[in-house]
Formats: sequence, structure tokens, C-alpha cells
Amino acid sequence: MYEEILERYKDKKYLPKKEFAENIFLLLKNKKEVLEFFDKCYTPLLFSIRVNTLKMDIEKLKERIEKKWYVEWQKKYGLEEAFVIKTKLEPGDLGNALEHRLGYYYVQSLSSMLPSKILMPEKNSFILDCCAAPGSKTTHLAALMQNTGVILANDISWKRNIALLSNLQRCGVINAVVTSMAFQKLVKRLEGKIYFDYILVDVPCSNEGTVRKNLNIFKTWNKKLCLWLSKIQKSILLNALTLLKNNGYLVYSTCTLNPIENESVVDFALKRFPIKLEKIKLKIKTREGVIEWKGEKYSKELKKAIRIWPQDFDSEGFFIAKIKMEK
Amino acid sequence: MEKLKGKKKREVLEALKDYGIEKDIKDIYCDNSSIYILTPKAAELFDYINKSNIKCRAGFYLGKIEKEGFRLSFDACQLFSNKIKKYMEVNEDQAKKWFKGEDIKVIEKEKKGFFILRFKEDFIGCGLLKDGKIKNYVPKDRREK
Repeated sequence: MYEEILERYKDKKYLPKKEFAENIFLLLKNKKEVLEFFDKCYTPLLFSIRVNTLKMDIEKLKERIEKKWYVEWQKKYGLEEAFVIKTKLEPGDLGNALEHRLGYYYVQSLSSMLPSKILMPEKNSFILDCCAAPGSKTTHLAALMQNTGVILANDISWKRNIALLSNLQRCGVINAVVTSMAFQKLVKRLEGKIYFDYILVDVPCSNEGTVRKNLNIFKTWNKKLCLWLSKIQKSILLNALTLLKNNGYLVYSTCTLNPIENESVVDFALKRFPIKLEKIKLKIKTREGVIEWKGEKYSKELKKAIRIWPQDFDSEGFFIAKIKMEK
Repeated sequence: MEKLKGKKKREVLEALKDYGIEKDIKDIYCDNSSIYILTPKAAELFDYINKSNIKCRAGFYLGKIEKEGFRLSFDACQLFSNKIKKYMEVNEDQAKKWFKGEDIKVIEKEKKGFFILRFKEDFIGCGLLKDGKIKNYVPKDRREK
């Protein structure tokens, strides 16, 4: 199979490593689908935007951008605030547009809009965004809450937090408090004092799902990196769970496809906390989480997690699990 | 940042009344002359985090107290666009100059103070009208490139 992949994409600058391709084959279990996946990887991702409903009405922005670009409304997929730009864009076209400078929209991939939509916080709730910068999901959460309640947005990097703060300001977010600490340290300071209704754990990952945006990922990807990230992800998830209220919800997400950074991490948490996974209902094609990977068996609960494949939904690859605390 | 109370808070709210947005503002914080707003729950958490000696930033930059009045921030102009009642319309040429970061000339020589500018349906920032000219305050990252 790997030889066939090398032959099929021999004219491409970057090619997947053998183990990467084998992992994809193990997950999809079907040669035709594996080739569909890699074909999609070499198909550049179209830009998409999310209307910032704190500043702009969806219909009004639709009318405006339709005068500039050919756009496709993503309402049919349950993403009523999202548009895909089908017009060929020059670099900077989206960022320099007046509507962007006025904070009417955020450039964001469709899959990346899903974790906040799945968390779907109620107005006036108490939210924690563990790895918040540069702020696509934080600003989305603020919009979903209509600028009520509070979001504690943390990111370990102060440099990345500069971008987060700038995006919060541009989008008109008034309910965010931003900290810049190693997440585990922050949890130690808050544990036993503050608990959250909703937590978003969108962890750093090996970005396998974003290969359409950056083919260099094929080159930089390696198993050691995934294993190292998996340890960090487990630590972040476990720490986050200590701050989740009883009956509170946590969404764990990554833009990567290997189970080591996904099901394995959630399974690790399932063994240590009184939590359950919630079924996720979306209007797009998704696949169940895996319950076995290379001899390791995971809880059957993980079937409720979802995997988003770029050949199923024309965006980035993603993994999302919705967890409920049941003490 | 410190929480505004009493007279100083009333002064800021009074200034915001001119723009028509005072009713939406509850917790106000100030850092020198810069004014920030937060939701009540965010204000509560911000106070707590501060007391815990955790470095944090919070608040939406609402504007600045200047000697000529209250200068509403660029982003506040769109956030409160449904409420704004005091503004000045500009034409396409003026808007182009404005987004290049240039001051713009206007006919009204008698009027002075801070005005929110409106171009077509957009509120495009707040400028200081003085001697027939509106001083530009568009943040650099929002100017046309």
C-alpha cells in the first residue's frame, strides 16, 4: 500500500512517512478510502470564516460578502455562522478586508468551529478554555454566550497570548480573563477554590488533520512527537477535570487523527474520573472513536467520541469527545 | 487596573451617555486614563485571580479619558453600534483617508470634541474634531494595507 502511495504522489514535494500511511490504513481499513484521504490531503483547503455575532448579524454579513466573493453558507451543516469562500483569494485578502478589520468575522476552519458548538455553553456560565491562544474558539465561545458569564482563557505562551488579547479586543469580547501559565500550575492555584460549568480542552497536537493547510506536516511528523504530546495531553485533561463541576461538561479536541493523542488520552481519563461520554449529534458525516489500537483496548464509551475525516467533511481532520462529570 | 467607583465612575458613565451606550456598562476598570469593561462574573474572577497573585489581563478596552472628553475605542464603536446616537457621517474619500491613518478635513468649524464616524452602515472609529479637522485614532493593525 505504501509503495502505491509513493507512486501516486511521486510528483509532490512532501510525502507521508511509512508509519503515518500505515496508521491511516489501520484506521480506515480500506485501500480506496486511504487514497481518498491522501487525495484530499493534497487538495488545498478553501478558506472559511465565522461571523462574529457579537458585532454583526449573520444575514447582514452574508449580503455584504456575497458582493465581494462567491461564498457558500454552511447552515445545512449546522454551522449557521460559517461561510466557505469559493473565490480564489490572494494572500491577505481575508485579513485586510474591511469586515475583518471591523471584527465582523474570524477566519477559521469549519472543523475548528465544532468544539465550541458541541460544548454549547449556556448564557452566564463559568467557562475554562485551557489552551486558548490565538483565540478562535475563545471568541466563538464568547459569541455563543452572547458576552455573558466568564471565560478564563489560559495559554502557556505569553507571546501567543498577545494574539489572543488582540483577537478578543477585535471581536468585542467583554467576558474573558486571560492568564499565561503552564496549565498544570494554574490548576494547582485554583483547585478546590474555583470550579467551572464548561471546559474546553483543545490541546496542542501533532496537527495531522491540518495537513491540507501545511503539507510540511508530512515531513515533521514522527511517532516520538505523538507519544510526547500524548503525555502532555493526558496531563492537561486530567488537570482540567479536577476543575469541572459535577454535571459540568468538558470537550476534548485535537486536530490530529492518531488514537495515541485522542482515544488513548480520553480512555486514560475515563479510568481515573467519574465521567461519561455524551453522544455527539452533528449534521455532518462523522465516524465513531476507535476502541482498539495496536493491541491496546479502550473503553467502549469511546464509540461516542467522533472522528472527522477530510474526505467525509471538506475541512480539517478532527477528534472530539464530549465528557460529563458524574460524581 | 483598578475598579472605578463613586464619582469617577459616574463621570465616565456621564461621558458614555453622550454616545448612548451607558446602560450597557456595569463594571468599569481603569488603568491610568484607559477604561476597560467586564461582565460582572468576569470582574469577580479577575479580582480573585489578581488576589491569588496570578498574572492576568482582562477587560475590553472601551476608551480613554482625554482632556477634550471620552474617546471611545475603535472596537467599541462596532460593539455598541446598535446604541450609538452621536456620530458624524463621512464620505468615501474621507473614509479612505481615515483607514490610511490620515486626519480628515470637515466643513464644521464650530463643532469640537470626540465624534464617532460613520461610513455607510459602519461605525469606523472615534476621532477628535478640532479646527475643521478630525484627528485619526485608527489602530495601526486596522488600517488599510
